[in-house]
Amino acid sequence: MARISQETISCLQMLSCEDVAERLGIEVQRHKTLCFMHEDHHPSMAFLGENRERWNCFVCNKGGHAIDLVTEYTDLNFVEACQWLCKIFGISLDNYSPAKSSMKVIRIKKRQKLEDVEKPFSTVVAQWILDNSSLSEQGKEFLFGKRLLNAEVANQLNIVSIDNSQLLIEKMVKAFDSRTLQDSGFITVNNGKFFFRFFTPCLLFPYYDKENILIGMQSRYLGTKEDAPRFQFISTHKTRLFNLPILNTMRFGEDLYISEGITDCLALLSAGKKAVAIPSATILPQFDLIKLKTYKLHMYPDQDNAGKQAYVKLRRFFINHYAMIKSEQLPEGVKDYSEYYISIHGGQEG
Amino acid sequence: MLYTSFEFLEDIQTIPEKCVKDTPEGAKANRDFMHKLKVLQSFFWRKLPPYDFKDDNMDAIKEALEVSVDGDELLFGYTYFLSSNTNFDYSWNYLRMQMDNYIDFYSEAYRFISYVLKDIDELKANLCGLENLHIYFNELFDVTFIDDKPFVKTIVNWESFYQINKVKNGYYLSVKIDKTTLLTFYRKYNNKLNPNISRINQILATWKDQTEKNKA
Repeated sequence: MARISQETISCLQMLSCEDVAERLGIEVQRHKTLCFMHEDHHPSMAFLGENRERWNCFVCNKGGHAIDLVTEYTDLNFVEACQWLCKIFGISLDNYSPAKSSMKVIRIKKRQKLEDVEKPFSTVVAQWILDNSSLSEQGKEFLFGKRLLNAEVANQLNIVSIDNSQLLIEKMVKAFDSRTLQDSGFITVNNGKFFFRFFTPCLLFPYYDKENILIGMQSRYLGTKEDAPRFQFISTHKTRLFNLPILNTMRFGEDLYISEGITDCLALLSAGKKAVAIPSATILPQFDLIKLKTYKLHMYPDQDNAGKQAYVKLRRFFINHYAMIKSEQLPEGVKDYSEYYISIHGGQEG
Repeated sequence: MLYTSFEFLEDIQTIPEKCVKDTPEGAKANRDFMHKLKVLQSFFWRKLPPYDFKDDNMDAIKEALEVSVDGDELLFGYTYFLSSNTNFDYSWNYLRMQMDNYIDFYSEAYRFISYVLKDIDELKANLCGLENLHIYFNELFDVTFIDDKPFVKTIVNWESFYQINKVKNGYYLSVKIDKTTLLTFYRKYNNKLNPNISRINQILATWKDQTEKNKA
């Protein structure tokens, strides 16, 4: 069995995991991707570091460098992964000649499909969190101070914030038994201690279906930890649109804006437009999007490649279902609708 | 600024005027337009390798299509369903065989569109600035050069949509000022466009002289 020198290992560990992911056929957008280790519907795997030389899934709590990425994703062992990486990235490997040695065919690890198993999400616990929380000063500062959003919009959408997860857990433990908490989707247990799954401080955005049933919750991190994910999502296994209940207020052919991400959606709503949001363009909530066919659809795509790709994906979807979505132009130099909204309403960028 | 498939797809989504009319004819025209748009969009399927102008990688493209078409259980089931219709003359065998022709048709249309986008960029660099100049690609795509980004505008002549089936070896390029055709030539794949650009410039210069003389 070949041995890999420490020098080579160090070299491989400096590789960009985003580059490696792309070579493995993993789609990366905005330095994130769907985690392949669990049934992920909202990108939980992030690529970190200056050269994106580390990866981490915040749900699985697993991560590493390029070699770990290859061994987790494929059936290659450590040495084979190093050999594969060396071949792909043209790194010389002592006592190994890619031309002479036969490379093992790379196979993606078979993982048990959990499609039939709903991910834990307790509506009861989620509703309890909403009922027992409110918008903290930090949350208000972010929404109204920095983003200049309309307070009425935040109120209608039932947005709350959590500053201190430990305090919340102390209350939750009194309200629910431990089994209920563990099965709720909001709590992880480590060494017998309960932890809140969302990084705090954070804003919480509840997701409702068209019948106003609570189906999920998304968080937006407000803290300063660089490695903390900005957005996290807990729901049942289907990806859903944000703000579905707005469709109950709409007429046939009325203007409806679709945004990628909640922040732009809130800005659109604050600007008086009717809007829904897709959490991410990685997986489109197709069954919800179909409901939008009868409206006049618009989108302000973010002015970057990822934004363009999101619009392309949505456009393709709607054309395939005989509907159109119009791309609205942002002024030159403005990266997204939130920024545009802030520039119109004055104040600092969030 | 390159005129890419993104801008092209944006342009072709422009709803024709007659489709907007609130009449039965308008509704029919709109349905027809949406169906054809869906077909045209399919040629921008990103899972295919980009067309290589240098090496003409049609084999690789057809291989990728084959993998997808042959692996599409729903599509295959559809051929059976069609052949089950007693009013339908074609047998299942014929429909299955047509799937090979479908791969050829699709790859040819894919190559054609790749060439159209490439030709547009080349023509734009050489011909922009002339008012009312239209370049027609197989009478299907009407391309004009405009002052605003992306400096190109494409309109689809949906009545000539069948022309997408006639691009096996090349296509016709027509140079028009408004509706007046100044030049038409057959553009074969792998041939360079340059010699024709010189011809186009000559014809346009002659036309311009003639127009000015007529005015005087």
